[in-house]
Amino acid sequence: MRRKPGALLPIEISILVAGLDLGGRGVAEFHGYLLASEIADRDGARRLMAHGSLYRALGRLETAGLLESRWEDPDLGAAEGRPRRRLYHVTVAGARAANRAITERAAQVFDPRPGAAAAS
Amino acid sequence: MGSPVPFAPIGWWIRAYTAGLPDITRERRRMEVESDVWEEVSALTALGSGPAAIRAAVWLRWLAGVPDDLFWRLEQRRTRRTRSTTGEGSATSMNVNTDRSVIVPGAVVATAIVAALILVTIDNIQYFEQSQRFVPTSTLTNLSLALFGIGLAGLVAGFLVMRARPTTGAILASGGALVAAVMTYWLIVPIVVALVVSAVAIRRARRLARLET
Repeated sequence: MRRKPGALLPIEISILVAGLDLGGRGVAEFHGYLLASEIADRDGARRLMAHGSLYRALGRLETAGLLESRWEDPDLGAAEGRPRRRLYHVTVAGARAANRAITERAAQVFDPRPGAAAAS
Repeated sequence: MGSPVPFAPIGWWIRAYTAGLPDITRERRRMEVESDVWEEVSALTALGSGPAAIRAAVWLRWLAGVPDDLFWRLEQRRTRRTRSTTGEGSATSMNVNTDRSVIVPGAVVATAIVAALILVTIDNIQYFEQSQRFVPTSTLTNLSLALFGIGLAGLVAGFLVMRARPTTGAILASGGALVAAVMTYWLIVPIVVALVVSAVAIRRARRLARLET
């Protein structure tokens, strides 16, 4: 199934918005589980996003240049006795894409033109 | 911390669906999911969840993502093929050129596998909770029978489409065999048969792919 160039899926919008929210709270970089928890909290979901769905979407966003990632310093994980985290952050292009998607979504919902909702 | 959720089964699954990809891609996926599972177990433990609840949360989250794991694998293959034919060093488009003839049977097989695995997992969790020991169920329910039929259909369809589409055929055949085996898992024979059929299907697909090139 093809989609319009630049169009984001709802899961991708959720990821970018959650990442931006975390950034706004001072969490400059986030790992997969933190992101899944944030999205579940925002959506009031009982279950976290599945591993396959989450990392597939993260990969797509990174390929598109909307996210960037790096491995954290291995010493940090070792010191805390946990596996190393892959840390992501939303790029400038990602922030723009998220804002654009939110604006478009709002325009679709609130379009006052007669029959606009039915036509879309 | 002694984790109540062994990572090995998830690790095996990751090794299976990333087979054939570059080591760096495989290792990255494995490490990311391993870290994610560790974080989830830590968080749930801190919240006071019991081992059974933690296991159920992690297993169900993993199983729910199996279809996306398979689609991701198809995308990786397609991206690599596109790069090799166009000479591009990196993919820049959000559009993944998915092929309906691959996606539809793939989705059917993936759904069947997920449904079967969820049923078996829930079944065993319930048995474990009730008896505090692992006792595989021995009742082939109507739903199990339906899934068994889907599995067999996938197996037959896989061999039928293998010449035209070797990879799709291999996925269908091995996925179908897996579902059929899972649905009759109290017998060891179907599982062995499923493994043999999968090996034959993969070998045959590789041979056909070589002949094509």
